[in-house]
Amino acid sequence: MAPGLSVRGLSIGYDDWQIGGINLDVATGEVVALVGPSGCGKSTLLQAILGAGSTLAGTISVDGTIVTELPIEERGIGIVFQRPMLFPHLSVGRNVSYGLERAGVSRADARAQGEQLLEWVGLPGFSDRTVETLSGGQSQRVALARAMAVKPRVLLLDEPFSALDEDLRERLAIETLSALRAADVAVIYVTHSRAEAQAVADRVIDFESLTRSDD
Amino acid sequence: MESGDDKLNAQSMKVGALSVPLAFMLCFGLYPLATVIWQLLGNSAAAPMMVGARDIAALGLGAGIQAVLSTALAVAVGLPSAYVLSLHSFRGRRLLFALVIVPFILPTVVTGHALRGLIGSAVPQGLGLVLLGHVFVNIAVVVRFVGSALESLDLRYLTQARSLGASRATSWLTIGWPLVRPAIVRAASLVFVYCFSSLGLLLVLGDRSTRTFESEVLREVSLLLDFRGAAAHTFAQMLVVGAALWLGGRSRLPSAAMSGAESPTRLPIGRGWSAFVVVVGAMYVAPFAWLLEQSIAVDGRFSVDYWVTSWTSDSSLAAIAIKSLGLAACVGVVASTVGALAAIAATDMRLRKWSRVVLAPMLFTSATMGLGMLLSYSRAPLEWDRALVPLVVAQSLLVLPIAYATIVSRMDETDDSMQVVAQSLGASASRAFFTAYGRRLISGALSAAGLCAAIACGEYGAASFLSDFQTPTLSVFLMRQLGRPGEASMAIASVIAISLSAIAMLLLGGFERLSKAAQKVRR
Repeated sequence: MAPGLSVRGLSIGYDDWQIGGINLDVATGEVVALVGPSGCGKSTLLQAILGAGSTLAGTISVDGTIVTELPIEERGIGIVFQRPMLFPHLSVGRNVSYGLERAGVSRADARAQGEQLLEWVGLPGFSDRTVETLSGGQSQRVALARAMAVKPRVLLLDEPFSALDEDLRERLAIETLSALRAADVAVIYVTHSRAEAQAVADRVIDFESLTRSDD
Repeated sequence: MESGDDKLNAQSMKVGALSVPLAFMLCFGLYPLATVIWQLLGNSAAAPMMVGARDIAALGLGAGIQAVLSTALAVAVGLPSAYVLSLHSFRGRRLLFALVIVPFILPTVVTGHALRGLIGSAVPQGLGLVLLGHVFVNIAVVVRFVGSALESLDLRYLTQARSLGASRATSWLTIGWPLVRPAIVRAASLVFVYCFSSLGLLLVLGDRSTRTFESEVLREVSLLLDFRGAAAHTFAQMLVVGAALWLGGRSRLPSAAMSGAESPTRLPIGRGWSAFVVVVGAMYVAPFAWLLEQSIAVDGRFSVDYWVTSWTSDSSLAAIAIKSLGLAACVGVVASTVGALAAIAATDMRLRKWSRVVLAPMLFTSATMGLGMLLSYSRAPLEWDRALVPLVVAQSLLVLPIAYATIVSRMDETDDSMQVVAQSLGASASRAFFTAYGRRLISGALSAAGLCAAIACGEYGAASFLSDFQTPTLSVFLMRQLGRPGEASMAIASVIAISLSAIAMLLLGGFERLSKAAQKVRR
C-alpha cells in the first residue's frame, strides 16, 4: 500500500443520517481538495478520519497501518479547524510547542523548535505573544505551525481560511499548501469554493463522488 | 429610527425603575447595616463588649478552616459530578441532576435533620458531620457553575490537543480544566461563603466546637443580649465574605473557548462512570427516604399517626404551614418585583453597574439582616418587631441577589435589535422595550419568585430573630422540635421537615408553571 492516507468502505453518520461506501486515497506530498456544499458531510468525514467522530464501518490506514481502532493521539493525523482553536491560556510559543512537550521534548528544545516553525509560517518573534493579540490570518498560521510541530503523516484542513477576507484567503491558501507539499505530508483540504480548490490542490474531488469512487 | 425624545423616554423609564431597588436597598439594606455598625463603633460607652479582637480572630480561624475543608471536599466531589452530568448521556440524567440540586433549594435545617438521622449514629455531631452536610448541599453549586461552563466549552479544543498527541486525560488536565478554571474558582468562592456563614446545618449537625460568626451572632443576640459583640462578629463576617466574593468575581471564562452550544453532544457513559452515578444517586436519595420512613414508622409498623397528630393538634402545624406559605409567597413577590425593576435598568449598559447594588445583600447573611432589622425598626413609631413585615422585608433582601441574577440572565438572552425593529415599526420607547424584553422579563420574574419563595420557606437566620413566638415559621418550628428529646419528637420533626419541603417545592413548581405559561407564544 502506498504511503499516505487510505480510506476503504467507510460509513459515517448519526442515527438519522448516514453515508457509506466512502473510498479515498491521498499520497504523501499530495494535496487533495474536497469540495461540496455546506452540510453535505465533509467535516463529518474529517472527524471520522481523525478519530473524533463515530465510524460505522470500513477501514482507515495511514502509511499502510490500519488506524481505525486507534485513539486520536496515536493515529499520526493532524487537523486545523475553521476556527484556529488556539489554547487561550497559553502563549503563541506554548501553543506551537504543546504537542512536542506531550511527546517528551524538553521545554527549551520544544520552544526552539516552535520558534523555527513560527518562522516557517512567517511569524518570527511571535513566541511570547498572547493569542488574543493575533489577527485572524496570524491565528491560522499559528494553528498550522502547531499542527505541523508533531510531524503528522496526514494533515486535515477543515476550511481553515474561510473566515478571512477573499484576498488574504487565496494568498494564504496558496502559500500554505505549497509549503505543505514540501513537508512530506498527505493533505486533505476541505473547501466549498471550487475555484479556490482548483487553484491550490493537486486533485479536486467532489464529496458526492466519493461514495461512487472505485480507487 | 429612534428619535432623541424616544431615547430620553426609554432612559427615564429605566432610571425610574432603578429608583425603587435603590430606595429599597437604602431603607432596608444600608440603614439596618449602618445601625449594626453604629452599635459597634458609636455606642461604646453604652455597654461593654464581651468579646475581644483575639476571640473574633480565633472564631474566624476556626470557621475559615471549616469552610476551606468544606469547599475543598465539595469541589472534589462536585467536579466529577459536573463532568458526568454535563457531558454524558444516560438514563435518569435529569433526575440525578434534580436530586443533586434539590438539597440546595431545600431548607438547610431539613437536610441537616435528614443527614443527622441517617448517619448520626455512625458519625457523631461535630466537624465531620458538618463537613458532610456542607458537601451534600454545596455540590449543587459546583455542578451548576462548572456544569454550565463545561456545556458551553467548545470540545474541539480537546480534540485539537489529542491530535497533537495528548491522551484523553492529559487533554482534560492541560486544556479542558484550565479553560473552565474560572467557573471552578467562582463556584469555590460561593461555596466558601455559604460554609463560612453557615447556620441551619451547623445548628443541627455541629457541636460546641463548630461555630461560625453567624451562629455566634444568634447566640449573642438571643442568649447573651450582647449587641455590640454581635455587631463586631457581623462586621468581621462581612469583611471575609466580601473578600471571598471579590476573589471569585475576578475570574472570567475565556469567551473565545466558550461556543455557547445550545445542545452539546453528550457522550455515552462508561462502566466506571455508571458506578459513580449510582453512588451519587443513592447518596442523595437515602437521607430523604430515611425522613419519610421516620415519619410513618410507629412501633415497628407503618402508620400515619404522627401526621394526623401534627396537623390537628393544638399547636397545629396547619396554621404554621399556612402562615409560612403566605409569608414565603410574599417574599417571592417582593424580591422578584424589586429584582425585575433592577433588571429593567440593567438593560441600559450605563445603568447596569448601579443595578448591581442589589447584589450587595450577598455580603449581609441572614443573622446580620435579622439583627439589623431588629435594631432599626423595632422602635416607635414602626415597632415592626410585632408584625410580619420585617421578616418579609429581611428575607426579600436576602434573596434579592438570586432574583436579580435569575431575571437578568433570562433578559440577556434577548436580541437587543428587536427593540429597534419594534420602534422602527412605530412603537413608543416603552412599548418597544416590552415587545423585546416583556416575555422574558415576566417569565424570569416568575421563575425568580418561585426560587426565592422556596428558599425563604426554609430560611432560619432572619426568621429566628423576627418570627413571632406563638406562630413561628416552619423552619423555626422544626428547630424547636429538634431540640426536644424522644423518638416521637424526632418523628414529628420528620413530619414537619417533609411538610416544609413539600411547601417549598409547591411554591417552586407553581411559580415555574406560571413562568412557562408566560413564555408561550401568543397566537
